[in-house]
Amino acid sequence: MGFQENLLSIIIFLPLLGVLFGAFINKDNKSAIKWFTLIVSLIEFIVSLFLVIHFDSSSVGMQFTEKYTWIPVYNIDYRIGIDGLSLLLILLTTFLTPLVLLGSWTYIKKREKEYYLWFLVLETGMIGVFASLDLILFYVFWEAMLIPMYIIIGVWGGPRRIYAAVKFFIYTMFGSLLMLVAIIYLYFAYGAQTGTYTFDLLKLYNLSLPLSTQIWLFAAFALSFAIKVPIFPFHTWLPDAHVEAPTGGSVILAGVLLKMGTYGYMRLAMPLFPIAANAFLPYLAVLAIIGIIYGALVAMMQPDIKKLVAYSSVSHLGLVILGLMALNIESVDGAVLQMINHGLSTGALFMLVGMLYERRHTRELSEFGGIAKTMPVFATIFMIATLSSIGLPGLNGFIGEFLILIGSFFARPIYAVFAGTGVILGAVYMLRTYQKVFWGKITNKANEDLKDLSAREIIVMIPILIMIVWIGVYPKPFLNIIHNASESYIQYVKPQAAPIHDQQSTVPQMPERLK
Amino acid sequence: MYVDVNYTAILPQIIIAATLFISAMADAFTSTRKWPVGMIALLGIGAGIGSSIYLWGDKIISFSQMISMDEFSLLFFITVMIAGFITVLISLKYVDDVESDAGHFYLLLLSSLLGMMFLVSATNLIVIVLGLELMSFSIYPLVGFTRDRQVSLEGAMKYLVLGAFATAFLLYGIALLYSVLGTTNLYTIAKILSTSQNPTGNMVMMAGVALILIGFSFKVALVPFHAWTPDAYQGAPAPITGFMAAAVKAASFAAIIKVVIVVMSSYHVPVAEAMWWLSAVTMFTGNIIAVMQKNVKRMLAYSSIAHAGYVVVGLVSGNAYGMSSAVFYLISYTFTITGSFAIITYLEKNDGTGTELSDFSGLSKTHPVLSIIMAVFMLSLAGIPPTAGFMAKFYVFSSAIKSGYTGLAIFGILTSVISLYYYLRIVYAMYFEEPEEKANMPVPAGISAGVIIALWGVIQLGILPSDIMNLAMQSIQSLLH
Repeated sequence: MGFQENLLSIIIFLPLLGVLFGAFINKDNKSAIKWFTLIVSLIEFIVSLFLVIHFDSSSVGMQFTEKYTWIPVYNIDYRIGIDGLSLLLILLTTFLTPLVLLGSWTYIKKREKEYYLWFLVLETGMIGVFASLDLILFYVFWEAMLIPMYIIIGVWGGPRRIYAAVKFFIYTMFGSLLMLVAIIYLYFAYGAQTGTYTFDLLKLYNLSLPLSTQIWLFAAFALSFAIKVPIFPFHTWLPDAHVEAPTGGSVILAGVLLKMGTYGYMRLAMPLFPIAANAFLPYLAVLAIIGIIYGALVAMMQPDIKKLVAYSSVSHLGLVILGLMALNIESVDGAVLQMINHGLSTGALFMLVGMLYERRHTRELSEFGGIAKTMPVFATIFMIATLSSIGLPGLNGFIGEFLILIGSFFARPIYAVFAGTGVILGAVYMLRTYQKVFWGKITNKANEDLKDLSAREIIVMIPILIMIVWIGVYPKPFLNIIHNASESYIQYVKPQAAPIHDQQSTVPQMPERLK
Repeated sequence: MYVDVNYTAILPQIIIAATLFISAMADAFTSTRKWPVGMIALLGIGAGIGSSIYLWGDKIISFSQMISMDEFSLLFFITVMIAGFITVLISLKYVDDVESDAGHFYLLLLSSLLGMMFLVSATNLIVIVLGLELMSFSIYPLVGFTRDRQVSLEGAMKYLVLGAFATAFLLYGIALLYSVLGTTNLYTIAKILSTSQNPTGNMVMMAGVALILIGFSFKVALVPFHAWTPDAYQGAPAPITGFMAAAVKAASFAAIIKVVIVVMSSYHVPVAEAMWWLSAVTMFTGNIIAVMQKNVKRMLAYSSIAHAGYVVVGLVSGNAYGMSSAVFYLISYTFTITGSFAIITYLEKNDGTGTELSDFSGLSKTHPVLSIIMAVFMLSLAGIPPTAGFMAKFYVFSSAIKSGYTGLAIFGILTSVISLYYYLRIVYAMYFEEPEEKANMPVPAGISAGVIIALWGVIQLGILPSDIMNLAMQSIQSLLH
């Protein structure tokens, strides 16, 4: 045991340790609980930065690996490790959690102790998902993480919270149980082929199953992740869960939980079953494009700002999936970066909407107008988040979207055309919303004496803004971290002999690397 | 005739029988408060568990091959005795509250434990019936323990009548087998079957095996032989319901496993097929009807039906792997369900009310620790990691997939999605609903202790299941040799 050898385990279980200690704080001592959980999550963030320091972005494969025997009867191991993809998602998690905790200080007014502790439990679950390299360990974290989210939505959510919480839980569970069957099947199939039984993800990559088997297994994995992402038409749980969840819940839901779906595609579904993946690829790409456009169109119609942001997630995540399906380095790099970007910008938007809700207890678009005059700081921050979300050059969203669009253009130009339309629609509804809320004359008396952001709220937003600008201006360090993970993903998935993607005359040949 | 007698083979049974005797004495000599009797029962059961652990690894077949003390029986001894131990712990307060001079509660519990232990260690069909009857006849009066409650009596009556049916089926099946084979000894039966040319051609034999399986299906409440369960479970006092769901079920399943192993070699196709359908129908029906229940005891009654279906999934394959997964499932279910009923015991009032879903509303506010533990038990029943229930389902379904029953595994998993709804219903009553005004009684020490033991089991089996999986495997191996 040492700090460096067990760094990843420490990061996974530190929040849980915090919960054990936090449980002894008197529940009436609210400020102690708030400060305690905030400090735990800040320490967690600082510790997770050590991952960046020691991360070697030039090496291919998993780093910080740890392995302990867990259930020898099944050769199930506690096996963890990360590559660039997991690293960024873990950092996103540890980065957002303290902000969410701090952001909830005035929003949550009942049962505070449980709220903050559940968030730390959730953090352990999320990081565990991104770090697991054993399928059963992955599954355990994947499922265990549902419980805190279920409780967070169900206890602290809006009026229809119970419906939303149950729907969220059962939808996700339905998909993941089928995945469990596929995992077990995979285990025996690997054992039958090689004689050794293992749930080790990296070993299972080498398994080659016939297409007829792969199709079923891929379908089980893909369905589970499609529900999580969510890919159209499996998205119906998302608006309910997002809208009913408390602000903190929505931020983590959009910021991190949805990424588990895209992460699942990239880490598990596609590389484990490459033949089936290639067979399904065009359909998934089409579903992704439908999602991009459908999400944007529905968002445009929403009278409720939070619902609008929720539907915009469907659209943005569609873009990420499209990037993963286009299978070239630009699009995949872009997709991974866009996962982070979406976490930042949508997280920021949910927080801002929550701050507005705290002041006015409504999220109806028609209730607002002209509040840029009363809340100038708020309006500025909201503007930056909006522009980041619609992909303005110079901010993070642009880099991700641009890479995805360019990559999917190389795959099939028509993809890029449709996806581009979705992006434009995104700009339309976001800007229109901004205009309706902030500009014009104050028509509603209730908006006349709104308080601008407090110092605490500004402190919550500033780190996100810094990241938004940083990635937008200088994305290279991030892309460096991502690069090897994307390449090995493509290597696993792309058919070696005959490329499935038609390199016909209509498709321009790919130029030398764009970087 | 020479009879080989080796008392070591029934040492745990002797200990429980002695405890029964001493408790009866103590019952006669104590006044109206009966907790000393309970304490003696606890000590005795503890000694029984200790002796079973001490005997682990030995294999003694004795009493003219009627009793086999092997790792299989010992593992089930320990399982049912743990269930009995927790049940006594959580009943300590109940027994003294419900009526004065109720020491026979413990005596009946001990004698049913004794019956179970003979049942799981029997290697002769007649002894199986004897054990089963001793177990059942001690349970019937416990179900109707609160004599002035109509629901309780109705449940006991139904249980008695249908239990008699089950025994009739069982005995008739044994008679048919005996008419063909001339023996009731399981070893001899296994030997004859393995050498016979065309076992499936003999309709009398087939009918015999079928009737025996039907008899047992009544006892473990497989659909369509489950009709007694909801009433008996709802009518019985909560600790007894937990005891029935855990121990009675485990012991009856132990007998099923023995019989299935004996007949599986010759009747693989019909038995596997029958098991397939029984498990599929049971999982589906149990879970669907449980969704509609408003009373938590009744809900868990239907859920226990469904869980019996999951255990049968492990039996379908008929191989050692599947059998040991069933054993593991029973152990994990024992901990989970006794723990759940420990908490229900706390909520149940002496007139039998207090177990509606609405009685759980807002429990997390008044009893934060108790409700989080209850939530863990519910998640374990639903099969969500990192709890015992997940590992148990994982084990059972992987045995089915390994043996090529992927369809059954998928079906089982889909039914467990249904089950999520009602288990979460309890969690959400506790967490999302506001509490009604109610007196905040302290949690009795016995119940706390019982809950902690059960919670330890659920977490231990959920996070580090390897040891128990090995024990389950060993126990089945000891049966096969």
